[in-house]
Amino acid sequence: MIVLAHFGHWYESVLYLVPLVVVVLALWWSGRGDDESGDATGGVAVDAGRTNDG
Amino acid sequence: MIGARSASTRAARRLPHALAVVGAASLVAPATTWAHGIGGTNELPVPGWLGAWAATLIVVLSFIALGAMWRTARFADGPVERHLRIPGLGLVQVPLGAVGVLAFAGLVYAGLAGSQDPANNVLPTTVYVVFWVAVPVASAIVGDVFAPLNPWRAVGRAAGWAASRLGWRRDPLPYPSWLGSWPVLVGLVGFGWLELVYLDGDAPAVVARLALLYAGVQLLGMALFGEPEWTRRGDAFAVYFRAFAALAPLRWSRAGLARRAPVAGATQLDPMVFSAAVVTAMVGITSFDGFSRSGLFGAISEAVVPVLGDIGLGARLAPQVLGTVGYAFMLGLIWGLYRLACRPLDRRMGARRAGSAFAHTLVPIALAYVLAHYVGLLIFQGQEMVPLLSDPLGSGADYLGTADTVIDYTLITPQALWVVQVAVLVLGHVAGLALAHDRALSEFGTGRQAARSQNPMLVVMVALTSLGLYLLSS
Repeated sequence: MIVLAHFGHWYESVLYLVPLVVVVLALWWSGRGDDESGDATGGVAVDAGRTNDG
Repeated sequence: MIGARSASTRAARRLPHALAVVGAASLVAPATTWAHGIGGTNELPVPGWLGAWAATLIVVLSFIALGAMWRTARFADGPVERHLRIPGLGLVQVPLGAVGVLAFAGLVYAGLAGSQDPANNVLPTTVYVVFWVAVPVASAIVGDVFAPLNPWRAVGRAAGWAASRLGWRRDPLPYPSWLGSWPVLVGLVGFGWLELVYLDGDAPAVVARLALLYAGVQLLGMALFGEPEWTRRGDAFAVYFRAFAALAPLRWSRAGLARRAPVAGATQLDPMVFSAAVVTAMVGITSFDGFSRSGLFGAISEAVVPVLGDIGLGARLAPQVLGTVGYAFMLGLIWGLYRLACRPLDRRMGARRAGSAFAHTLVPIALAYVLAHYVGLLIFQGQEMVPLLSDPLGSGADYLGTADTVIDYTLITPQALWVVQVAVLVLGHVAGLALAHDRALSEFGTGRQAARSQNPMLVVMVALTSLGLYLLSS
């Protein structure tokens, strides 16, 4: 109840999470559609290791 | 390939509509929110959460645009460089190294012999504003400015030269593989703890003694493993500044200057040095600086510090214990987010390789976090160097006649500052996405597979953008 009573103090913090939730849901929905149409990405051959000199 | 093309075409078709929405939002939002009035420096031109929404939208649109338009790996073999030969450039390294040594000696002396009030001693401002903020920013613009001035490297080189002249030279030990990037990680995390958690972290004598300790460790490392290898792998600050210098459009060498695409140099960073732990720590240190000033951490401190004090930690130790826990939490959070982004790639590439292959993509984000969090400090506190250089010990001297100079707080308005902060955060994350997309293209070949492999990275970039805006706004 105390948490709810202080809603006015922390609700703005929750708003920062909205884009994250939207993106996660959108990607999940997009991946689900691809899986249903059999368009899922299978195993992909990977190149040999990179050589960096930084 | 057909599927890839149609998906890209769909994305490209939707892009103008989405851009139109962003444009409309950017026109409408400021007009309504600026009307709320701005009184103090903490008031923002738009609500922080709205800024976060707009910023993340731009990041998402950039991700879509990358998938649609960036179809082949451009930096698989490193960025294209145009070289300009500058005769005699190698010769200036000696005088610049001498300047670095003299500056280091003078600063340490100021810290030990000067006023112990951090505001009146040149050392703390030099370390926490010039060294920690201005040097990374300058490195990202004009290249590695620290390397030629690196005082312990200059001493190490001079000692090596003298030893070889006297016939004392011996072959350095091979750098042990188990040491990896630990010296860099410990150095950076330790420095962050000193700055953000330790209560006496700005005491001039403490900073001076730790600077001497750090220099001593570097000299020992160079003596054991050789100057080039230790500077490349073990000198935390040299590595830190070199990471930002990789983003610069200029690369300096003994032979001259090379021009390249901005940010592209990050693709050449050695993952053995710039490991996931190191680059996530670079982001995490700055994140904790913002988090430690947030209302949330303030509320936690109010509740927890008295309890810790009551169980015997005392008034000084209790906030430092809580700060250490919060610091570790933030470092772990950023590392965990990065590992989350790489996890789908673990099966294909192996966890170790997946983690290191994309670590460089966080470097522009680390720069964005540094700029966004410290641009105000740089602009305002940086001016403090003018009087401090005239009276470095805080003894009342006025060597340059500028000891009475005061900070001009009108150089930039709080609103303009916030716009700059949001802009650099967005640019940093878009640059990170571009680097990740390019690396995915070189690893997976096709645009569609590369784009799909980067979906978790998008989630992390959105999370980091929101987190960055939350930390700035709170």
